[in-house]
Amino acid sequence: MRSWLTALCVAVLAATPALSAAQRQPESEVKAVVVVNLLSFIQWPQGTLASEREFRLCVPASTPTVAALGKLEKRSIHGLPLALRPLAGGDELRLCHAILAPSHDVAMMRAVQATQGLPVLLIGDGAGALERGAMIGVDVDSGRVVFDIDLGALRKARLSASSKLLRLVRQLVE
Amino acid sequence: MVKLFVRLMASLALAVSAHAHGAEDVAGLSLEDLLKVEVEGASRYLQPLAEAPSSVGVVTAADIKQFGFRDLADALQSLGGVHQSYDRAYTYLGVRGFGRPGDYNSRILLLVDGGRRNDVLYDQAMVGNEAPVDLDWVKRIEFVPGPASSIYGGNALFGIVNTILWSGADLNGSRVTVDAGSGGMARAGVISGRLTDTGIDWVAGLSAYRRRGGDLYFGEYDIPGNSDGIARGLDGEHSMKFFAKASRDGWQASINLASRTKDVPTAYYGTVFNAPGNFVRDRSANLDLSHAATLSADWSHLARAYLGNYAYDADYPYVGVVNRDQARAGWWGLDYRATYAGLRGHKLILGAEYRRDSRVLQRNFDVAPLALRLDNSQPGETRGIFVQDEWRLTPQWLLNLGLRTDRYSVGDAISSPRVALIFRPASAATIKLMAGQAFRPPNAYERYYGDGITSKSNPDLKPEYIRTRELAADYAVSPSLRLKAAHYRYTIRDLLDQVPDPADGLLIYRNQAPMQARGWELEIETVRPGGWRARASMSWQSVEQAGGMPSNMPRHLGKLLVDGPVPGFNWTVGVIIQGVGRRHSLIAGVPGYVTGNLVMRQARSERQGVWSLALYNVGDRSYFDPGAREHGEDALPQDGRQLRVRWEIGF
Repeated sequence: MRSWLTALCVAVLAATPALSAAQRQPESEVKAVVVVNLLSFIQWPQGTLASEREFRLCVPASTPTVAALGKLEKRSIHGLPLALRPLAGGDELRLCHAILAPSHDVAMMRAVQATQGLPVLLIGDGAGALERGAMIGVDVDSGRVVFDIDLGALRKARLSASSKLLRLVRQLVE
Repeated sequence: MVKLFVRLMASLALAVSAHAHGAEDVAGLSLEDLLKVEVEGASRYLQPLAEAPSSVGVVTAADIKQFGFRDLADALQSLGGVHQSYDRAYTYLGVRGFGRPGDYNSRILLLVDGGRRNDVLYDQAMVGNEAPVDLDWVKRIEFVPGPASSIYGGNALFGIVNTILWSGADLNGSRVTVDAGSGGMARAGVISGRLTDTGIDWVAGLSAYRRRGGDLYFGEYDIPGNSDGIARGLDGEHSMKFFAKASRDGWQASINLASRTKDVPTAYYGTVFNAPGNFVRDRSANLDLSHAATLSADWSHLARAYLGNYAYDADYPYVGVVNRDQARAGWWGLDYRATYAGLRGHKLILGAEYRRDSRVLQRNFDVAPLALRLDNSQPGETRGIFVQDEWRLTPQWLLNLGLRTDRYSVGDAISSPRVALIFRPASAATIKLMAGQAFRPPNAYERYYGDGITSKSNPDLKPEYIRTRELAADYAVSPSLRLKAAHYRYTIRDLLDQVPDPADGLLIYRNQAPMQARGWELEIETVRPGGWRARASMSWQSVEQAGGMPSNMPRHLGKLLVDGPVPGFNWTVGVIIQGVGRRHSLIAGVPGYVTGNLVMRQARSERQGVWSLALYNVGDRSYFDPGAREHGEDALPQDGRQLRVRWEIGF
């Protein structure tokens, strides 16, 4: 009994890496790069970024995407170095230029509440982001990263998306 | 067995070294190209909570900090329909009005990173300080109420507690926490982790806890001329916990060690009151090796090999003699599940599990003069196969069907079905209709433990079953207002419970008369301007059993959680108010109570670390939990106001 089990284990363990060696990338890393890319295609109201020394992306919840974003700090967004800020909630969220939070998390509820009417880009990570008040939702569909945009919500925050972004979007809510 | 594990580890090392990190750099790709990259990761097949066949409750690491939760039970009790009780040896969870004092949570399945943590002798899910994990290691806790034997086999009657620990990538550094508090409590913990450039994700945590404990008054032992009813300095506790995991390319190896000793002041099992040396000690070791991979566009799998070890020691001081309990359990198992998404509209999960309980020993003896009262060895094995299909009927309708069959060394094969129909008319609203059956075979303790002093064995016990039906709804009225409601009914057949045998007064486990229950749960969560969040839940439940009201089953539970930043100060505040309705006990019943906790925490991390101050049972409310059969007390006193000061720093 024990010997065939051992053999089975070793066989399964030896066979599997070969099967999984297909060229796939970790979801969190691709999502993180997508998020950083998205920021460059969004326009903030004139003057918002002009006086800044950094681009503040607030990440109120620690997630794999946030961990992967750590490697992309200092990347240039609209000429400013990207800075990650793990702010938890409340009025300090108003100081962010963009917020990335899991779609179904109290952090997202807080972000929506704290930034109403302000030019702060809300990005939801995971399904159902737009319904929870995010302006952009980043998700995985059929093994690829996709994003959705709510144009009305963007407009309310006085933000706009470039036409290139709108060409690549999966779902566009007017 | 050890040999098997060494071989597994060796093949893991080989696989890791042979399998170069194939990640090409995606950071330089254009957005257009990024959207073409195929990704792998949990969420490829991860079920959104809204589509799970249960109304799942989640406690995040942020909640743990914000509300100062001290152990798993503390965190779980913040969720609707959950209550805890503490007999000053172990902590018990009650779910949906059902809580049996002294059942060692054998009706709840505790998973750590997906691996089963209930031992194989008592089936105990340790959720208090005795839990093998420290809350500092926890990223999130998912509580999945309802029967889940259709996937997990035995013990998943009332729900699953899935504890997800931090990964190295999450931490990317180290955190240290130091606590001091009431009753001479001191605790220190460290956790470190990192995702290295070579693609290895590692994390390790260590914590040590000690509490001197105070004096406790037990009215039943207040007998003038004999004892004043005060157990002096017999409530001490200390523990040590360690875990480490490393993963790469879907492979993961983890180890979890824990030891906890608790002095027992209750003079249970007729031991001498206020006598020192009455203690319980639990030690556990768990090794897990798993491989998760996407095999092709349609197939993915999770294979797991695990090894567990558990030791229990307890001393019972009787007049003139010390009696000792020893239990030793060792087990290993293999668990395999494959997911197939190749059929349009279906997601199939097929699984098989084998577990060998190689060592299941129970011993009881008087220390001096040596007299052996019990020496029982019951190794066994179990195997199970299951299938689940998530069938998307339309974009709005999802049908979840599951069936598992388990076979144990003793008894017939047991089948556990579950069906759930999930309707999402809009993504802000979910309605679920669920029905399922779960079971628990009698464990070695219930079957074979008998010392002839207080208890005797009953090898003829049958498994117990629960049948549950539930209707649940979840609606996000707006991004800042959520509502949840659930109505459920369940029936328990052949409930395993300890009763005194009228013939000789010895305690014995027997299958009991059927028990019926029904209940409601309501929850509202909102976030207000300024970042204040409030979550309130109420639950009503009624349990009926022929021959009298069972103990420790509250009809009402209420919770209110509020937290947010204090404007103008660098502090956040978290408040929990919890109410538990009146409960029956074996004799008189314990009154309902309301307690509150208050936690203040520095909001921003400073170079010098973050301070927090927690007050538990702020009002110093005196309240009780019902005693079990082994207790001389009908009601067991709980802690009054407790203070905890914490300093934490990350680097």
